[in-house]
Amino acid sequence: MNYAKAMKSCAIALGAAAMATVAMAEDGPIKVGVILPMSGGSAYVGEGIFTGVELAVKQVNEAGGVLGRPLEILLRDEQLRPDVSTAAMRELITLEGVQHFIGPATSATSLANSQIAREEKVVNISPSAKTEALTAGENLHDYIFQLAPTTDVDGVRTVEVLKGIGTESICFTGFDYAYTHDWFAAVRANMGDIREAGAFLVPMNATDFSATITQLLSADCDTVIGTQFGGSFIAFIKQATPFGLFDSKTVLWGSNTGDHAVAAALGAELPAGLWASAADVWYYEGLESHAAYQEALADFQGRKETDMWPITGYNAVKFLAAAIDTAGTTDPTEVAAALDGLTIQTPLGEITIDPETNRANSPEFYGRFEPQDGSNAARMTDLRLVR
Amino acid sequence: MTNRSQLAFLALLFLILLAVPFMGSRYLTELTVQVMIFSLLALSLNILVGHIGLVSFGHAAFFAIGGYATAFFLSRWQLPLGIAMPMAVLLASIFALMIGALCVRLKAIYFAMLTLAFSMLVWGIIIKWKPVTGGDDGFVGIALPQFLSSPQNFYWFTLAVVSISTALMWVLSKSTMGQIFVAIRENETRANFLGVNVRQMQLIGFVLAALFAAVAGSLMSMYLRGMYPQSAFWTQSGHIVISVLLGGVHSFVGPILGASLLYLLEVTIHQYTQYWPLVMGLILIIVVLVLPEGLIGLFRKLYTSVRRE
Repeated sequence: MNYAKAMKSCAIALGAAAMATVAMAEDGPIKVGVILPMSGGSAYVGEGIFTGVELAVKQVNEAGGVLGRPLEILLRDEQLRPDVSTAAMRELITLEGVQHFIGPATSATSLANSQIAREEKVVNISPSAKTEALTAGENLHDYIFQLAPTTDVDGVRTVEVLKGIGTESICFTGFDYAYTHDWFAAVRANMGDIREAGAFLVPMNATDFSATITQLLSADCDTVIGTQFGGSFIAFIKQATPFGLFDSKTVLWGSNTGDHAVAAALGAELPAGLWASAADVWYYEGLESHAAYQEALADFQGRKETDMWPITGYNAVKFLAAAIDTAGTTDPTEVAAALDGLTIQTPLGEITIDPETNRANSPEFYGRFEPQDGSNAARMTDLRLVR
Repeated sequence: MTNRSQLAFLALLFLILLAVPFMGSRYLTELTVQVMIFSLLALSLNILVGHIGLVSFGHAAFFAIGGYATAFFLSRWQLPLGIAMPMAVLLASIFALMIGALCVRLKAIYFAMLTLAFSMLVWGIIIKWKPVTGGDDGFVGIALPQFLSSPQNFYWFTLAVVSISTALMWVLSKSTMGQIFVAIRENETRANFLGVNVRQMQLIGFVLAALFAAVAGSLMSMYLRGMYPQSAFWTQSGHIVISVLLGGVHSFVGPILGASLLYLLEVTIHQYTQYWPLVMGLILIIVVLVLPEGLIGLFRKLYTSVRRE
């Protein structure tokens, strides 16, 4: 074999190898980067969303995958740190070739990762971040999609519920941070005839609310709305109950305190009559699609009383799979274009992504906690699915 | 390690860093950028910890100020990078001068606690001053100059800035001022009797450490395309202290080794498990109990035992 022939053979072999690699990439699984808080205080949120992601991916793959290819999850822990979250996203893009992302979970990390999605032109579906800033003004771009209702939407819905329960005046309380300010601003912008009787904010992660509770009790309002969450919410409940706050005023809480996990954690200590909201409640019986989803989730988790976070991850995967299917390709630009205006059937009915704002019209439950016979965990009654 | 072996290490490291972009892996390029920035940050703290003997638990404040100021000057005032970055570093240095003037009056644990308190004050301002800093959402979407938008160009820029900063810190450590720093670390009272204005020198060291931390913060904000309040939180300061301890405080290259190893471990372990904080805790225990002089101390012992044999 002379030199020219040898070079030609090598070139053919290299070309064949390259083509085989491309073919393998096109036939292999579609990688989905999932970046969520899997450690620390918000791990239960990340684990919940991830359960929904896993369930949806399982269902999609059992139904033959997308474009004939299975979905493959690559999970990373965001640690609630934007630097860690963006580093994880860059790692998945550059090392694993991921072009589609679900997460992160919180506003700050979602905002950070959205910038990377814009720059790298990869699809980024945010399942749970509520901040307006994620898809507003200069932050809105073709590759970011926000599924959770924003604080502006929450404000409108909250006022709707407040008017429905006959609120005439409100006091605000909560942690002094972005979510509180944004949500309260949205409530104020929509509350019309409802009178504001004062705002009593506390430092982030405070656990002593005795002064605030006294202020709330003496304030001239019939309804209190608040935002503390996690251990601080539990501390607030425990401190406010002996003062009779829940007996003397209607109380409506944000921060997804309608989640069954909160009711289960507080048990009998959760005061009857507390109004709250949640992305999902396992005991809602109004839709067959929801019943089917809850049955699948209960099987998957091995317990009937599931939490609210899985539905957010579940819907994110369903949107992504539908968009890839509609686009007929995994190319992120095409998939992002397919997500604009896309409507899918979810456990809570049809949800559409607005092509102008890239926000989905995801519904939320509002209800009033009441104790249940035979169960330690209270459930929301007077349940309304607000769209 | 002797000066010659440390210089040889730095030269070899520089050559390796020059080759990284040509290895064809964008992941490696991006990872190296982050390692270089964290190494610079650790080196800056070592001016205080290693040279002067002051342990600061608030060093992240200057990293954050540098980052936020760069973000603000680039995006809001739309200043050119050549002006925005020096202005950010100058601003952090002015803050350091004010904070340091109060902190260096105290010793040991009191100094550490006061730096921690000021750091949390900076964090609190970042969280509250939403119109300027973006509050707890962070400062998002930095307008980078066009020439830095490609990963390769950003790599060369970072390498240049980190190399120049490292060279300056090396010169400082070998200068008369550097020797005075060491004299203060070894025996503050004796240095005082020799005519050294200890408080003034400590303040100078504090400002210099903050200056280089601000350079690292400036680079990080541009790399992340944003700056976030967690960068000023005490955990970030703790992370820098662990980097320095892991590498070894009494050598120039120790912090580079410590920061690089810690970050690479963090990235690698994150790919498999979420229990990174547990691993970091173990590393800290090992350093305190087994490796009080860090990796450099370990290498020194190994070298000595090999030579004996």
